Amino acid sequence: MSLIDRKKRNLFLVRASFFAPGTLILIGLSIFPFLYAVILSLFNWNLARPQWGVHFVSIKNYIDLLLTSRFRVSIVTTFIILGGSVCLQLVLGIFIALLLTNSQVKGIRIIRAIIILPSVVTPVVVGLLWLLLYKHEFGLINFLLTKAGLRQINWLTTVWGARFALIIADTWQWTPFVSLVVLAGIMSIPQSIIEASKVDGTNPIQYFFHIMLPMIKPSILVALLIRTIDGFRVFDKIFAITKGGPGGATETLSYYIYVRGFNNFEMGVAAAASVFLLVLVTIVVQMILKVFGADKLFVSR
Amino acid sequence: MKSMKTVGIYVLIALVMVGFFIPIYWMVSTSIKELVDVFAVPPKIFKFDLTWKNYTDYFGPGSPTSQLEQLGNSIIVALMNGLLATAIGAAIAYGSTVYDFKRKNSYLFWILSLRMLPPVAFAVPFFIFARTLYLLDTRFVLVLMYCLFNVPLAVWLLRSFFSEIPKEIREAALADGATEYQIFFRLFLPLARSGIVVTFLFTVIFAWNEFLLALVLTSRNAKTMPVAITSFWSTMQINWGGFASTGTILFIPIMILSLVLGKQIVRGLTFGAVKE
Repeated sequence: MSLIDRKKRNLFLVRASFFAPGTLILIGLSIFPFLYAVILSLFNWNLARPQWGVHFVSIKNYIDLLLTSRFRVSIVTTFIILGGSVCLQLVLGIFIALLLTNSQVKGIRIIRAIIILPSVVTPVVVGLLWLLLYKHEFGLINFLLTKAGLRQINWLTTVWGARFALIIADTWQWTPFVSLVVLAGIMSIPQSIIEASKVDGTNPIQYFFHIMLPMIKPSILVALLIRTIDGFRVFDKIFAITKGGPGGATETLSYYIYVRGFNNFEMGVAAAASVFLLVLVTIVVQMILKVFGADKLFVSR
Repeated sequence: MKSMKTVGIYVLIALVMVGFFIPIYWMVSTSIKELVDVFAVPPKIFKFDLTWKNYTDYFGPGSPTSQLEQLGNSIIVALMNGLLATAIGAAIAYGSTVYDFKRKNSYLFWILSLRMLPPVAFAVPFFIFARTLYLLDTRFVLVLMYCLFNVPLAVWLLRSFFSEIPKEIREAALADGATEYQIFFRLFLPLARSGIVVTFLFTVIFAWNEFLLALVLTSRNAKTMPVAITSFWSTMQINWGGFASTGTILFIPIMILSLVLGKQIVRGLTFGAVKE
């Protein structure tokens, strides 16, 4: 090999060494398990019933899932809880961000430090915390409701009560995050535009809808994307508060996969449902990106 | 007129802050209350007797119900995975910041997409792999598996920090005959020191809070605190004291870390997409 070729090869090896270990690990943790799950989904394997053996059943698991109403319901439930949580978080988050826009700079630090706390608390702890608050007998929420003269609510024993319980707990945890993201977007509006709109005599409502909103669209999109993606993953709180109940009212697709895979140990079925979930998430994310016209979002440095 | 609006805004902000803080305060205060006071109706918000019983019971070294082992597991897994993910992420972040190659965008986007994936979809394959390799219920398996979402976090966070280092510095070093490794270890890492600390802290936070994979992959030996805390809830009753003290212990380090992180918090939670 000539000197130049050897130098080129060494340079390539050096450069590759930055990527190789990490990329290998990531492939091993993502692509490999995914392929394995796809293959696994074509088999019939129950860990709790080893005597049944492992048989190739091709797409039987997928067909069975589609024919199982509980599976279909779990997808609907996922969207119900996801939709409710994300909408609430966005609306409240934007509202709070607007509130904070007008504050002095000094106060912001303390406010931010306190307000971000829910978003960094362990989600399962948040779940158990709200369980405490919801429990019918000594729940703080019902106590406050009665004090306000309203009726107590059966949070965890009714279908919609449980769903709202989850939505509220999730909203409580993540609204601060959304508000801080939107706030960052608002703070990045150039001063010149603010001045110009004042000179032009725009009133606050016009300002909000025609100037601010378009300018903070990227921030809102980031928050929306992240919360939507996380919405599909909600598991910790469901496990903590309702365990999918009552009667499957809060059983999202994620929880359903857990039940089939780790309560019933039906590995093949759980794998098939996992593939469904991954495809679903990908489609929804692509749709959101398309709607916001952000398919080409990522540009290299 | 204007000052009334300002006062109104401050009141609203105060309400918001109280609303987000009350449940946390509730949990912490419950952990130091006597059991009687926990159930008091009307609830005792400020006036109650202090007791450390919940902590000595569940975290005291001698206590039979002590969770020190789970606490240790959480700490070890979080720190080790933080180190591992930050190191791997730094290498990839450096490489992707200073080099260009075909399909770089796709590669980076693929890494980012790993964050989108619901962990539950990987729980089944991970479980089977760990089971086959006899790695179930070990801290090592968690340290490894958490890389799935922590390495992408590290990569993207560090990319946003590395991109703040001027190109000229690297060019000058290259002109002086420095090797890539020298530039990485002696130039970029020290310059991005605070960014690396931030990244490390975030990976630690996410590993510390993780629940699903820990639930599925561990049982007795490597159980982490988020999993342990669910054992305080049974169909019959809730062990309030145990839950509150464990929850508080889970919460306090995070609170400290988030105070340290300050305004970098948003950056970390959005994977570097949003800077202050």
